[in-house]
Parts: sequence; structure tokens; C-alpha cells
Amino acid sequence: MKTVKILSGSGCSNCEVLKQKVSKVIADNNFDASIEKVTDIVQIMGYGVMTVPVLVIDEEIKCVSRIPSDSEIHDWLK
Amino acid sequence: MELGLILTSVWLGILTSISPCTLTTNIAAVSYIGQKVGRPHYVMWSGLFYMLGRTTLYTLLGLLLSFGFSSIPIVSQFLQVNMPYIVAPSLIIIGLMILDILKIPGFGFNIKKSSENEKRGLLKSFGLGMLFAMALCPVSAALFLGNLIQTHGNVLAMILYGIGTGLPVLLFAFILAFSVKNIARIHSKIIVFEKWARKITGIVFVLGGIYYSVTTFGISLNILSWFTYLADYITYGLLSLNPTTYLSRAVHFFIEDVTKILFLLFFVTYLVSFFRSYLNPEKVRDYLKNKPKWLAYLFAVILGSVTPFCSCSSIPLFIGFVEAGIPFGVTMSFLITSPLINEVAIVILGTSLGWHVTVIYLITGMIIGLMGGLIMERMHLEKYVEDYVYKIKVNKNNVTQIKETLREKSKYAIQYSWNIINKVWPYIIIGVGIGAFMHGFVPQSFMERYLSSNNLLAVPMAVLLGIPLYSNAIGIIPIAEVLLTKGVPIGTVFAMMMSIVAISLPELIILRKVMKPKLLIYFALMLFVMIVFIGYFYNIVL
Repeated sequence: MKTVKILSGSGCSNCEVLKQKVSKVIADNNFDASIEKVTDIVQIMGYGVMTVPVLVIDEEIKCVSRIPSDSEIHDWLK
Repeated sequence: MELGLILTSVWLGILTSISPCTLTTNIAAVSYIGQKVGRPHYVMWSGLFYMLGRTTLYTLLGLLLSFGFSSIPIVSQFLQVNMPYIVAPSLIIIGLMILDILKIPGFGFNIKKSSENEKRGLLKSFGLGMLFAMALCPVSAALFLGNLIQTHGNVLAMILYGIGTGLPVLLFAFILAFSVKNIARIHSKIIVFEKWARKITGIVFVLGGIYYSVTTFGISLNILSWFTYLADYITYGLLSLNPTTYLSRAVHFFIEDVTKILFLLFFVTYLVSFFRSYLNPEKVRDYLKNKPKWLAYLFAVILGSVTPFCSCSSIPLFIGFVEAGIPFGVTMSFLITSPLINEVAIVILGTSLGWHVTVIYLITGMIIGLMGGLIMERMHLEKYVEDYVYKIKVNKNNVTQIKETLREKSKYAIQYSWNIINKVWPYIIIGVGIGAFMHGFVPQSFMERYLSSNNLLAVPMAVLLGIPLYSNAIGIIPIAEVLLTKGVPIGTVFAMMMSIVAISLPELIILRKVMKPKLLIYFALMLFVMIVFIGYFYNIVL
């Protein structure tokens, strides 16, 4: 079971796009993963990043400030 | 064959090697061959094979031609007219392959593995020689034919001529190989050098290819004129609108601006995000740390204008800066400048309003950022930052910078550009739509009556109007363009543009998370006053 976190700003449309992409990859491949959108700024700063969206899988930062492609997400979740 | 003729053939070859087209390709060849400076023998052989490639092609060509002199004009015509069309794009493609941006399976120019690929590498040098030899421009074709006719199709003369055209490359290969041999002991340095040499080679190929393409295809370098042609074609051709009507003026404006802006948006965003990994906010933060104050302010506005980030990142940015110990005023300068000066908007501004206006805008934006930060610091407004901000612990060990290859960077940049286009195209359509409507239908007298510099209320009204209006900076440029052409003074137009991008309601709501209401009010009020002042100032001065 992997835990996926999406660090998001308020009113950030790219963050929402990222969340939907990840959800779709999880659903399409029946991956065992939970997905959570983190908007609490205190938590976000805990990861030491300054730009959103950020994709965190099992507490490891996968990509910052960009929307990865489906195949990249697939590889990280595999 | 007498010595004189031998020398002449070689000399004609050398002359060819420095004629425009051949020189471009030879420079590319030298840097291609020189990539592997770590292995001097290989470099020498590679140079030799390149020369052999050229020689083979010229000899074959010479033989072919000497079967019938009558066919010379046709063949040379073919080589002159058609070959550059193949060679020019090939240069760009090979360059992109060397840079590892473009990949064609099973065929790479980026030789990394040592010994096993050397044979293939030599073959490639040979092939490159043949390909490049085919690029004959008028000058080199004349020299080639001159040699051929003078020696009556002598095979030896052909060979000598071919050698001559590749001689400078071989010479450079020798120089490179021998000069490096002496310092070959510092092996680790050479690997680094090779990495750079490869990048430079790729760039030389691409630039050479672009130059060669431009001269061959006769492309108008003024890319912007393409959009005017397109709009002409659609408006007057496909839709057959009468050029004198208001409608056709509006349609023309709409088509030209939408296509132009979308193209520039994609292109500039691609470039910016390609280089973004070299300058991200984390790096800016580290630059600004522990700098003397005046330098920190200066850097903050400069970096603010070149660092792109989405407004939804302002909060983490703000906290990250404050936590790193960067003074409050410097942080504010960065936050004000960043939306005010947006690199894509600057390019579009430059192409539609002219670079003169753009430079003024740029400097004004920086001054507003600088003043804003300084004033806020002088007023000690940092006490109105929400208290929790100072308590947040920023974890610094968590971010692992992943090394990206050029190809990945390019791929991410394309993805990113599409994302941006997807996000802002409605603003562009709306902005250009309004612009087109005003361009076609709103008479100049209307603008003059209400928005001229005689109307003192125009500037503050424009700024007030801009606050609730939230648009992407790019969307308002077409409107600004029309306003300017309809005689609205530049100060008023600037004031409206700056207020729309710098003071926006959504942005203020986001900032409320880290700023107490009092600070927000000061922040908005200060920007309002500064922008109004600048509006009046330019209306009077310009």
C-alpha cells in the first residue's frame, strides 16, 4: 500500500489536474494506493518545497512544480 | 600530371572548404570530431574518415560528370538547388540528436560507449563527409566545376580536390589530438570537457543548420509577418470579407493576434521552462540569503522578473523566503515584481507595442517592486505577518534535486507549455475578442472623449477597474494595443495593465493566509498609489 500526497496551493488548478491524473492511473491499474491532497501550509513547508504542485509518494518527493505524464506516474506507483 | 595541376586542385579544394556553405558544414564537422578529445587516435582517424567521405563523393561525382560534360549544368543545378534543402535540415536534426533532445531508435550521434562504437563512429564521420560534400552553393559549385573542366575530368584531380576540401578539418583534428595528448593525464577533466564539447557541438550543428536553412529556404526571419499573412489569407481569401468594413478589421485583428499570441506563448514558455531548472525559487532564495541589503533588493527585483511561478505558489514562496532569513522588504519586492513582469508578456508586449514601450514597462515594473519592498520595510509592516508563519519549521533536507537530461528537460518543457496554454487560452480569446471588437467598432472619438489625458479621473478609474478584473498578463496586451492605437495615453494604459496583474482580488485572498488584514490593506493601497502616480507621470512626460 503506497500513500500518495499531492501538495497543493489554494486555487491552484494544476494541483487539481495532477490529483485527477494520479487517481486515474491508480484506478486504471488497480494499484494499491491511497491519495490525499495536502493544503495545510505548515505540512507543505515541512517538505522544504516552495512551488506547487508537488507529488509525494511514500514520503518521497517525486516531482516539483510540474505535471508529470501518465507513464511517469505509472512507473513511480508500480 | 604535373605539379602545377596537382597544387591547383588541392588549392581549389581548400578554397571550397572556406566558401560559405562548406565552411558552415566544416565547422560543424570539426566540433563533431573534436568531441572525443580524450582519445587522440580516434580523433585523428575520425578527421581522416570525414575527409575520405568528402573525397569519395567528389570523385564519384567527378567521374559521373566526366561521362558527359553536357549533363553538368543539370547535375550541378540539382546539387545546388536541391541538396541544400536536405543538408540544412539534416544539420539541425543531427544537432538535436547529439544534444540527446531528439532520439531516433538505433541511430544515435551521441557516442558514449568507448571502443565498441568507435568503428561505427568512424563510419559516421565518413557518412557526414559525404553528406556535407553534397551541399554545393554557387561558390563551391563553381570551384568544383572549375577544377573538373580544367583537368578534363582527371580522377586524381578529383581526389586531390576532395582532400583539399577536408584538409582544414583534418588539420584541426590533428591539432586537437596532439595538444590534448600532453594533458591526457588529467583524465577526469577530459571527461567533463567531453561532456561540454558534446553540448557545444550540438549547438553548433543546430545554429549552423538554422543559418543554412534560413539562407536556403529564403525564410523571412520576421516570423511575426507570417501571422499577418495568415490573417490576410483567412479574412480576405477564405471568408472574402471586404477590407474596408469594420467587421473585416475586427476579424483580421482577432485571427492575427490569437495565432500570434498562442505561438509566442508556447515558444517562450518552452524556452523559459527549459532553462527554469537552472533558476528555480529555491536557488533564488539561496542567492538572496546573507547578501548586503541593497544587493538583495536589486537581486530580488531582477530575479523576480525572470523567475516564473504560479500565483498559487506565493504562500509557500513567502514562507520559504521569510524562514530563510531573507528580510521582509526583499521578499515583498520579489513577490511584487514577479507577476508584474512576466517574460512571456514581455515578448508579446515587445512584438505588438514595440520594444521602446516594453523597456519602459520593464523598468517601471522593477521600480515599483523595489519601492514597494523598501516602503514596506521602512514602515515595519512585518509585524502584521500572521504569527504562525514565524513558527513554521522548514525542512531543508527533503528535496533531492533530480538530475535531468537535456531530453527530459525538453520533454518537461513541452508538457509544461501545453499545461500553460490549456490554462490561459480562454483569457487570450476573451482579451483578443475585446481588443478586436474595440479595434473594429469603437470609434476613436469615443476613446478621446473619455480616456484622454485631459480627463484626470481616467487613471485612477483604470486602476480601480483593474483590481477586481483578474486576467493573465498576456490576455490584456491586445486590449492595451488597441487602446494605444486609438489614442489613449500610455500612462493610462500602463496603469490599467499593471493594476490588473499586480493587484488582483484572488491574489489578495490568497495572501490573506499569511498576512493580517491591516498588512493587506497597506499592500493594496501602496500599489494603488504607486500605479496611479506612474500613470499620471507617463501621461505628462511621454
